[in-house]
Amino acid sequence: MLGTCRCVAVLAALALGITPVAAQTPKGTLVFASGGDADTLDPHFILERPDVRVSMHIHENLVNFDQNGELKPELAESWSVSDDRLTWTFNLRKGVTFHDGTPFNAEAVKQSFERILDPATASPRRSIASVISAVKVIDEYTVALITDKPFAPLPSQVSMFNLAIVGPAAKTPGADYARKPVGTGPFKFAAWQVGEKITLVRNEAYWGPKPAIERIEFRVVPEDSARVLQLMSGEADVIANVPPAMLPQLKSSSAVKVIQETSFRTVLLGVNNKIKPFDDLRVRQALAHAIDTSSLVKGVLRGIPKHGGGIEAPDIPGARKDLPPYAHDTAKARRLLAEAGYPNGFSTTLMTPTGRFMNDRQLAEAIQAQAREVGIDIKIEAPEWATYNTLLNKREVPLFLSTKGNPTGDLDLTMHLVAHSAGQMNFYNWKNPKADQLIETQRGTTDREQRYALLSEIQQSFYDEVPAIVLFYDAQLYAARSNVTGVRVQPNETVTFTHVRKN
Amino acid sequence: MGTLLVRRLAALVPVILGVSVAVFLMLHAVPGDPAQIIAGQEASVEDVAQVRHSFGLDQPLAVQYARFLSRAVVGDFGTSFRTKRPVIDEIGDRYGYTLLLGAAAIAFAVAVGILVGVVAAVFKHSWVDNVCLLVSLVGVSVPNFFLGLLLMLGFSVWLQLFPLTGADTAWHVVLPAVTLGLPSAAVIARIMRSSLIEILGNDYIRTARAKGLPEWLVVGRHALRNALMPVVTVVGLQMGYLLGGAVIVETVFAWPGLGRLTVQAIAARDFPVVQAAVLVLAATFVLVNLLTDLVYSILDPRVTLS
Amino acid sequence: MNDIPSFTAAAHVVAGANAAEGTARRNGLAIFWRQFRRSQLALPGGLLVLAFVLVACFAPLIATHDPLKNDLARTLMPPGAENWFGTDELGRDVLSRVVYGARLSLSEGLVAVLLALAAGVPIGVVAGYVGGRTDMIIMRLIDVLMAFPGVLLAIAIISVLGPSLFNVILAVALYTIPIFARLARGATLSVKEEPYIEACRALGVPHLRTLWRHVLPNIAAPILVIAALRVAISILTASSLSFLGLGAQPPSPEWGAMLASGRNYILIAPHLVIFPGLAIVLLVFGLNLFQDGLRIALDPKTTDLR
Repeated sequence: MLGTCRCVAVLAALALGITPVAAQTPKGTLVFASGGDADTLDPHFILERPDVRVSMHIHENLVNFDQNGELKPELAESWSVSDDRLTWTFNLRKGVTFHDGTPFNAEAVKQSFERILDPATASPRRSIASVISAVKVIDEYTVALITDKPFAPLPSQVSMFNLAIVGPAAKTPGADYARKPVGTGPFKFAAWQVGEKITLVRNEAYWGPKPAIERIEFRVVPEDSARVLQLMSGEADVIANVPPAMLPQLKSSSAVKVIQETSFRTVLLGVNNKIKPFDDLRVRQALAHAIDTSSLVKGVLRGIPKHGGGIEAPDIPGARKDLPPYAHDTAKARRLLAEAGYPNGFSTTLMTPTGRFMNDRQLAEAIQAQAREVGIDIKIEAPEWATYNTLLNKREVPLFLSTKGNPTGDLDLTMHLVAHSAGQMNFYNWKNPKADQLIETQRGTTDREQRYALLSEIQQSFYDEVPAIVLFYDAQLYAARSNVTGVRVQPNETVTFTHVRKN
Repeated sequence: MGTLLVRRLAALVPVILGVSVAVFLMLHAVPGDPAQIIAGQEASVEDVAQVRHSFGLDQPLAVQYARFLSRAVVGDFGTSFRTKRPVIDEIGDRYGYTLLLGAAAIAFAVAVGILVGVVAAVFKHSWVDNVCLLVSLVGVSVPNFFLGLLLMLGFSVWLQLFPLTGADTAWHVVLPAVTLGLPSAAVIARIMRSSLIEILGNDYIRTARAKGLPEWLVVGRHALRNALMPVVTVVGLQMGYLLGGAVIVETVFAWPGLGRLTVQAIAARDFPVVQAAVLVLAATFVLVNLLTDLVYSILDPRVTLS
Repeated sequence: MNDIPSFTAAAHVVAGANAAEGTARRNGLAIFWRQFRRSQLALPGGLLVLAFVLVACFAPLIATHDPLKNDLARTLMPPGAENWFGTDELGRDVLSRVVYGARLSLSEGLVAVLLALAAGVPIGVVAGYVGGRTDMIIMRLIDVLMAFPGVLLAIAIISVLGPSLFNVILAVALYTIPIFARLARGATLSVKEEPYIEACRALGVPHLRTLWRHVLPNIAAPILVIAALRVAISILTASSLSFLGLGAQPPSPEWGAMLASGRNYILIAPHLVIFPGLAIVLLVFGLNLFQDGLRIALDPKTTDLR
């Protein structure tokens, strides 16, 4: 009933006529405003971005990404794979402690991995870890992860936020780890006012360079305009998800600056390859030629994201950079439709989420208008997110707007999800036996260039058969007060404040 | 009266029970598998099955309801699918905010409503009265999401007097409370006016005037108290309205109350939270109605609680 | 289910029993008209509503642009010579969208109320006329429905049915049913004891015929008054639901939906919020004025209840 107490306090303050708090956050505190509150801070249960943003300041992984998308040591100082490619040995960093004082060692790593793998934990992301069949403690600071089959992308897999190392405290019954996380990271959990803010404080015993700021407040401000206003007035230091339409205003102010980063996320118009008439390649090609992605990017997204034709964002290591978008050519689209037996076009349905990614619904409306030009009559349906997901999973919707990100920066993760015929996110019903086989083969290929060559082939078939029309690669728009430096927005859609300074 | 009160309270039990069954059935008819939602798009089939099992969603409906009910009667509403916290804590965190917003809104509505109503009655049929009437008619015609946005635009964006959204300080409650309370203020003003005009026509008022009492004393001391009676009932009715309106206003102003929690929980298919939140809202609603009757029967002994 | 404030509900408190019994006889058209004119605001209100009806009917003639036509080169333009109300985030003409939106809002209000009347009145009349156990069961169910804060009930229903304009209408209708049912039941109860109904019964007139020929006409007036009010309230509620993204789907120019997408641009293009918002306010304001006149006209005992 903490909320009730606070409310009484607020009421009292109101009665006393206290004036609004002065805008301007304290020097040692960084206030970050984003749209959603976290659900859980237990990495083994984390599914959404707001949770990741907070959790990754508290928890660390064995391996992580640097600014250039390359793997770097974190809790493991080095790692190697055995000759049979089944045992991955990690040499752990010494002298690290969890926030509650327990030492970090091989046993802690073992417990953490076994926790997510244990069906009794009921982690919704058990499958992320399930390539690991056993965890072996070699000595105090050496641990081995063992797989049944060779799995080349293992180091990047363990950089996934779900595989962060949780403190042994997580095992204590009734620990409520989701609300009282205990990691090794540069910040410690301090307080959570549900629906309002989460506060972290600096970990004074951190093994690495200590952050300059003492506290971070992750504030929940769902309204786009409200976030921009809070930044302008100085109530917030950094904001996420700046609406593209407001960029000119922000850029014209000297008090704030815009932080624009690329992302590993592809926004696409999914096509169900099993539903008539989209089972015909020519119809899919026609649709691709009917859509003018550059005018979508310019008109709906103010020219911010990059566009291209490859299914994987070009910044991901190993992604094809040479696949252009299908040319906007309505005459060709009409011809292809006529060849396929639809000279007068046809009617179909497009499903879009609302407010899940940048201007999604507007995008759907703009696509609707473009498709009308070639005689494809699109009806838009915008069910709420839960229903959208269920319908997507049933794979019965002809057209849908969707996105795919990549949290680990390794193509294996998304190619398997999206392009494999058994892939969980292959909402396109795309079946290509050769692609399936290539995906399996690259998993066992430890040579990087060889692996990328195999992955490149899959991307080519995806491009040729257009199971989905790539619209653009999402951009991440943040904005900060101009005295704030060191905000690191990563292409895998995380943001780190560890290196932030306020001048 | 005590036994009557007990009887009225007892009559609420089947209503609340009915609400719980209705919510339960509705939730399970909703498309959107909670396990799939919680596990996310990229979850494997096994992950989803695992989640479904851990929520008990693989049990027959009747079993699920029986389990819910048997726990609910001892105050255990289970744990949230999303946050894994006890539902009772989730709701406890938010309920206070909704009560605060509701209380502030009703305080605003009563204060403004009575003031405007008295002014209109005292100056009845003059231009003042007409202006009051027009304003109060506009007051009930503005949808609260529009009013909320207008107030934000005026007071937060242009004048920068109040914060736009959130619930951090006392100032955050002002705009949502005004938004939520304005239509009720309009209703109260009108009822206050009619009631006061009726009272002012009574013999004892004429007597008071004949005695040479100044008009403000006549109104203030003799008429107002009696004229307030119908206002009490209306305030009770308005509280019910406020609970419904809070859902929208909380969403517009990002107020972390129960209404917004419920909307979010429905969207996330967080069944235990929806069940408990709707029950709490419904219980509040019927209890407020009962309370109104109670206050009314105390104020006016002729009215009984039956 | 007073989730939107109602003047009429308030008026009934003051008028006491007047409302229920005050309409036993049908007035001639002339009396109606004279009474109607007594509320000076009724006529302007009616004209305002008529204006919206005309706009809705002749939308294609009035609109200056295609309401669905995107123009990505001219997005978020402020009001000007080319686009009187400016353009939205996809370059569509806001004026034309507001004009076409009148069709949607009017039909939301009217259809929802007609559906609710068609279901609620028979339920209430039967409950009141038959009495006994039937009455008790029906009223308990109604109590359950009324224990939900209205908007939440609508949200829950739409979650089950999926968001669409028609489902919003259905949801609004469903939660309006109990209001008409209660009203019809109350009115039937008082009519039931009238001598002419007793006479029907004594003469062995079939029940259905009695209900249709004698009960219904005598309870029609108060129901009509509330129905007019509920049209206004239904428009407000339906647009609130569309505002939450549960109603009309893109690209349809529903006013609430327009406000919902416009609110993201409130800092740079407030016209996206202001014009559709004003349209809702004006239409509902007109309906409220009109309803006020209707109430006075149909209730000759009202003296100063304006």
